[in-house]
Amino acid sequence: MPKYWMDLSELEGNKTSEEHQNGFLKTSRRDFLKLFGFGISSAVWAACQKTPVKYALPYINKPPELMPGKANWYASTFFDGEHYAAVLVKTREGRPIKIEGNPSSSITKGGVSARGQASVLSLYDNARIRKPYKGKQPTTWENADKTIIQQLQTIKEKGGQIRILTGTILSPSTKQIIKEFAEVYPNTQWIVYDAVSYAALRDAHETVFGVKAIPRYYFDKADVIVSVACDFLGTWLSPVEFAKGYAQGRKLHKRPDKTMSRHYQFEGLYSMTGANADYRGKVQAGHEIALLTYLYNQIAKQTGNPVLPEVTGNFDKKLVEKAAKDLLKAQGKSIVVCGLNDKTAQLLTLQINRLLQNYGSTLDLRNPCLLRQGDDQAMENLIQEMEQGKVDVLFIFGCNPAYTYPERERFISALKKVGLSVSFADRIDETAQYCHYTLPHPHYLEAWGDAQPYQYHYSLQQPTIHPLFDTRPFQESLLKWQGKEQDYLSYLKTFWEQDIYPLSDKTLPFDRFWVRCLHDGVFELPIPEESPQPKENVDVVAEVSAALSQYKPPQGLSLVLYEKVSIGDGTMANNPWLQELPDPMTRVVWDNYVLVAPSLAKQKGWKKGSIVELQVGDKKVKAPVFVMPGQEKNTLGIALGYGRTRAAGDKKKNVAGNTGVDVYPFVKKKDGYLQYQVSGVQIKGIGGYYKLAQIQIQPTAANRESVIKEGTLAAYKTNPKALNKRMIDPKFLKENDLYSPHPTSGIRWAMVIDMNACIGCGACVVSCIAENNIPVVGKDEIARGRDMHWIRIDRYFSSRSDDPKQPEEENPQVVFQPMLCQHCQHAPCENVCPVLATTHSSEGLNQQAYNRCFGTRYCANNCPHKVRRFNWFNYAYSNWYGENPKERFPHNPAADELGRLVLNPDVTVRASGTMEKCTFCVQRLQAAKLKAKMEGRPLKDGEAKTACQQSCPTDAIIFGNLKDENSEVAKYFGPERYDRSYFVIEEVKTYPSIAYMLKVRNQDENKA
Amino acid sequence: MPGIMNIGVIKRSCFLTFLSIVIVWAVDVKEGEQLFKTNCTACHRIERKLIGPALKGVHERWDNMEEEMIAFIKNSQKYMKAGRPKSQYAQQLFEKFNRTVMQNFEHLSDDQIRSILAYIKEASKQLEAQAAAAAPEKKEEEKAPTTTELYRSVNFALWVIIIGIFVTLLLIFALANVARAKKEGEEVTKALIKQSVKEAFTNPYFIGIVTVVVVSACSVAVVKKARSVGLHKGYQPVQPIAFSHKLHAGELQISCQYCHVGVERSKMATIPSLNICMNCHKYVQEGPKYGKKEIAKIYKAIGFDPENMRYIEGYEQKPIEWVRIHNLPDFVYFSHAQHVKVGLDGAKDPETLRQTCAKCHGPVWEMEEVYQYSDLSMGWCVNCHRTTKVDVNKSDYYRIIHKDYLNSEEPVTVETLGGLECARCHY
Repeated sequence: MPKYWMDLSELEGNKTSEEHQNGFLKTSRRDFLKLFGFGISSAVWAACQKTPVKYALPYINKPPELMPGKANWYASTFFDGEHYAAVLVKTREGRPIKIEGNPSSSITKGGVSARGQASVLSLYDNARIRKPYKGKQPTTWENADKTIIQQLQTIKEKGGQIRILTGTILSPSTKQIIKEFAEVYPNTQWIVYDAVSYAALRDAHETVFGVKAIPRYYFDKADVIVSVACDFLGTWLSPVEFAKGYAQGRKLHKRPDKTMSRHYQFEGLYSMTGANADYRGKVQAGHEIALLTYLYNQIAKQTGNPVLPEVTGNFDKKLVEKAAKDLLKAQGKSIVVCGLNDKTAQLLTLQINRLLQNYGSTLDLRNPCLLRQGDDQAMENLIQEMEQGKVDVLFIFGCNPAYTYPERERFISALKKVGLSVSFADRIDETAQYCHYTLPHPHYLEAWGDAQPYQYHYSLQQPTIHPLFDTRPFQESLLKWQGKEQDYLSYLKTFWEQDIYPLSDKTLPFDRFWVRCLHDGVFELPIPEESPQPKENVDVVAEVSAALSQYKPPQGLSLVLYEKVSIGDGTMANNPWLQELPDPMTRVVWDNYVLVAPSLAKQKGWKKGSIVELQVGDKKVKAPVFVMPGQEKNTLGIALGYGRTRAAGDKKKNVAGNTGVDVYPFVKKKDGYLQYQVSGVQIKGIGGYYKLAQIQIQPTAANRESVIKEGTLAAYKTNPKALNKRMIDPKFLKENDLYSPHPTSGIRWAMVIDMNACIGCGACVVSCIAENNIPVVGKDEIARGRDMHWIRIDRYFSSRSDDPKQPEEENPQVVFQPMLCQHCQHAPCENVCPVLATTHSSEGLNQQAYNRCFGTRYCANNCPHKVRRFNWFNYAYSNWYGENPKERFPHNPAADELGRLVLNPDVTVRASGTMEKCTFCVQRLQAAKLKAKMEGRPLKDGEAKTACQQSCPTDAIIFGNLKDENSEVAKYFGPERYDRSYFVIEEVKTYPSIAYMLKVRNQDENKA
Repeated sequence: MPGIMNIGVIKRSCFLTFLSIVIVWAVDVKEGEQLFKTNCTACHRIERKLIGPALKGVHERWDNMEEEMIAFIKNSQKYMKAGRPKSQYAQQLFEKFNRTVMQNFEHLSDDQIRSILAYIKEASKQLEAQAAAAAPEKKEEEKAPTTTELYRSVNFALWVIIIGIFVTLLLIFALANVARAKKEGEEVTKALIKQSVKEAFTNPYFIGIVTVVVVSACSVAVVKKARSVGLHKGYQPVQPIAFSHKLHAGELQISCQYCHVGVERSKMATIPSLNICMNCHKYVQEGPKYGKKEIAKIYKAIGFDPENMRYIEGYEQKPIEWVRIHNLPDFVYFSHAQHVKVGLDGAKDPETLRQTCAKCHGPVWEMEEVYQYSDLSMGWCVNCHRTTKVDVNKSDYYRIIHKDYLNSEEPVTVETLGGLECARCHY
């Protein structure tokens, strides 16, 4: 039996939480009485307010499709510059309030990432500028157009150079507009730049296949997955799509032959993807090429191909050999991915995949991925041109190089030499502040658009709200400046009619085709048979060995600049939902920090929160330390996307402003690529302590054996019962019951969570926040243990103390367990409530009546799962007690006039002093029931979906009516029905309504 | 003797109350109402100003000088110039209402005018009572005393009885004291009686009973008052347009759903958008009561030119700001669709729907201005859920999910199916 632990301090024998260590509240009796008296008098005063007169304003002309009180759904497209998702947007009374995945898409198949879920809040971001700006002064579109067109004309006449710098653009119509713009202004060049670049991956494919493309990866078709420093479930390329596919190979209950894909992960940091791996090997950052060479050689030897010269590196050779063996067994059914932006590494990966015959099966170049089109070399050339004063006009759209470019001073000084610079950012960000004009582009939920994430996959984006501010699409500006008086929508329609409609089978007239695409959100074409073939005269091995002769694995410490699942490259850093979404591995919110291995921390005497100075070359930052078990000892890590100075423009309410440190300057340029692994790092402790806010109620698993259950596939196959040991005799359980059962009806809601499928991405957490109006409480409150999330993804480390060679913290495994209210049938919270505010429903729900609760918190104390959340303040709107929530909780959307628009009108906004918790999304259940009742038909299985279930990219959550014997949930609920199913802490006899499917790793050893 | 004096006071006050009731009802309010409706409503309303001032509180404004009022009503212009006690006030009033001359009513007798005035007084009282969130029990004859009055008189009687009991008790104890003294051979003197009464006051039984009764009466009053806090039964705010449900839903028999389109489909019944008003009012440009005045407000909001029967282009439209009457707290989820479509099989035909709506909203078709009919308290909701029966056989949904109740002997109510559980309405 492995040992489960939640925090390093637990391994060191600490059993109490930080909160307890801080001591109790120090309030004297007199203070208490004073506050008590004041409280009562203010409550009396507050209660004596006159009832305000409320008004009801009906529409003047009600749009026929709109019915107040009912939601409308629109298909649209989410793309934040990094990840794509086909989405459905829920609008109420004309305002978007929730993003969900669009199941019609064959790419994302109804999944959306946490960032996609949170993007709806960015629409209501107060920092967005409300009109066009000339420098720091507001201007009008007419004035801006007039001067810009004039300048463009003069520049055109004198033959000046125009450059359009954008992030990756997925929109085919936008690409067309840029092309047409370049025809009108012939000296125009378009440069694509990504903050986190994948240029090497595309270049490698160009070298071998002659097409500058990223293949489509099919993780669902792979039996063996080898990932080298690639967080493909969290951040890499298209994580939602990959997670969907990956989960296919992990869901044992869907695989009658009890097989699973096998996942090897080699990495220096401990990524979320690594946590899901069956075997995880450590490799020092910078040594991945050595590892890939070794892996290549193993495979080349077996397949009779030329071998590369060996390179020594710091990695686990045995595990690589094992991986090679498995890969060879699964030729054509495996995937090797590498997350480095290094051409040699990518060539090696490509070559390994070729040797394994993976191209054409798990990797598909016929339908290449059009994400991450950034070209690092082109960006460098642009800056050189700008420095030489050759660029007269620069348009910047969808990227923020003054923040993300490593040599930002160089970029900024070059930018100042440009005659006319125009930014299309929606706020005056780091780059826009140096531009002559900032012409705000609308948020994607208020604008038209299209996308082409893969060659044969189109997607439409339609507005779901009238633009909130005086914004204009980037595309429309370009059209206008070409002299075309056409709005973008009509251009888009014409473009689709002329360029995309002909590709369809034309069974529908265009008008209906357009409406159908709008309705579906996506339009997919059949993929052609022919695949790009490798170029004939390319000797990859020679090219790689030439590169290898130059390659020397770095000595000393190396640093990985990684992206967090929540914040990514920092584009959406001003989004408080994302800032408060805990990192899956560290569980820290609102900050980035230096990840160090336990051995290094021990050697230097650092603890969580010790402040260190990190130095690469002449660049330094100060940041707190986070000691990460399982991290490679010479590897350090720190997340990009933090420490933004102008994430909110000039606005005071800068969510991202004082969180974390900015490490983009550390990004290294090597061989023309932006590289995110840096060597020659110096780190020193400078003393001091910084409190990192961590969502981890208790840093201990209290040695319980029935919280997490897991085992190897080998063990599961031989004896599943041994893995799923009952903690209490079921017979005893049945016969001995202190309480009488609750009255029941024809519905008993229940949930099953597959821990094999849960990858820990946190999409459910943001979905829950959006659905249930959960407040954002900020760093301080979270540090006090007052987080408000109704669902949390507990991260448990597990290790065996029986292996003396390896200290426990060196290579632990990680299990994720989504924890939410278990809706116990014998709920310990219910019988301690003095006012019956929490009661049981006949449908099995543990109900919480906010208006009845008066805040004793007995229930939370008595909850064995610690899922109840207390409103310590009126996070939303009240300032009765002299506390202005706008000042104290400025990041809570509900405290803000604009942010309040995101609230779900079907769910109460809770006041201070009330307890809240997961309701199983009772508003959705009631809505589903009402729909069935109104149609006079029985409730269908899967019709009522909770928000977490709906948003889960891997469909790890099954929910339904247990009384319906044919329901999915009835098949897997509890150990009697399914061998992997168990209840958390069953022995306390609370009879939860949530069962978990125990985690099985595809490992050979027969250990429990 | 203090005891006897007490009784005297009570007697007197009783008599006075009775007298006042008799006096009030001596004047024929009914006749007054009739007269008022035929002669005055063209220009006056009790509750609000129309062409002339609102008549509520007119007696106070005229310092209860009925003779002066009668003279004024008969010929206002003459009165103003006559230099009578309120002539100056009459002049001010004339100026205030744009020098609109009030019609002469010399054909009415003094008694007739008196009864009109009595009706106005009565109606103002009723209005005040309604405004004070009292219950306008419209089911009863309008002419009968209102519930508030009844309540008040019952309350008064109760207090009289209670005080009566106290006095009787006091007398009994005093007499007992006297009797005891007599038994013990003392002579019945004035001093002895005085002494006995004094002792009766300090009798622990007497003090005990008085305390219990007073405390419980006060508690009942407090609880009653506290329960009504936040409830706005009878709330009847003045709306921006004097829209009459009595006319539309009552006389014209327009179905509720014609305007409140969401009632069967959505959580909200919805207040009709102006385009729904315009379906009819594009053509109906004049109402029976206010002429063009109120309907013109719709045109002003939506930008319609009634003369040329067309919408004004580029008009800046403004929504009508109706005052919300029914305000459920934020923590209550109420769905009209659930109650109307599912629960009460609402809109089979307009009449059924109307009766369905009336269960909570009252006889809206009789309301000139809508007021909150039910108190919308949780107790009120729960009582209905307890008593409303559900036909489990009515659809497949119920037949399958609630199959256990298909052959139930007991009546199946909303409560049986979980309709009293918290999370049905609170989430």
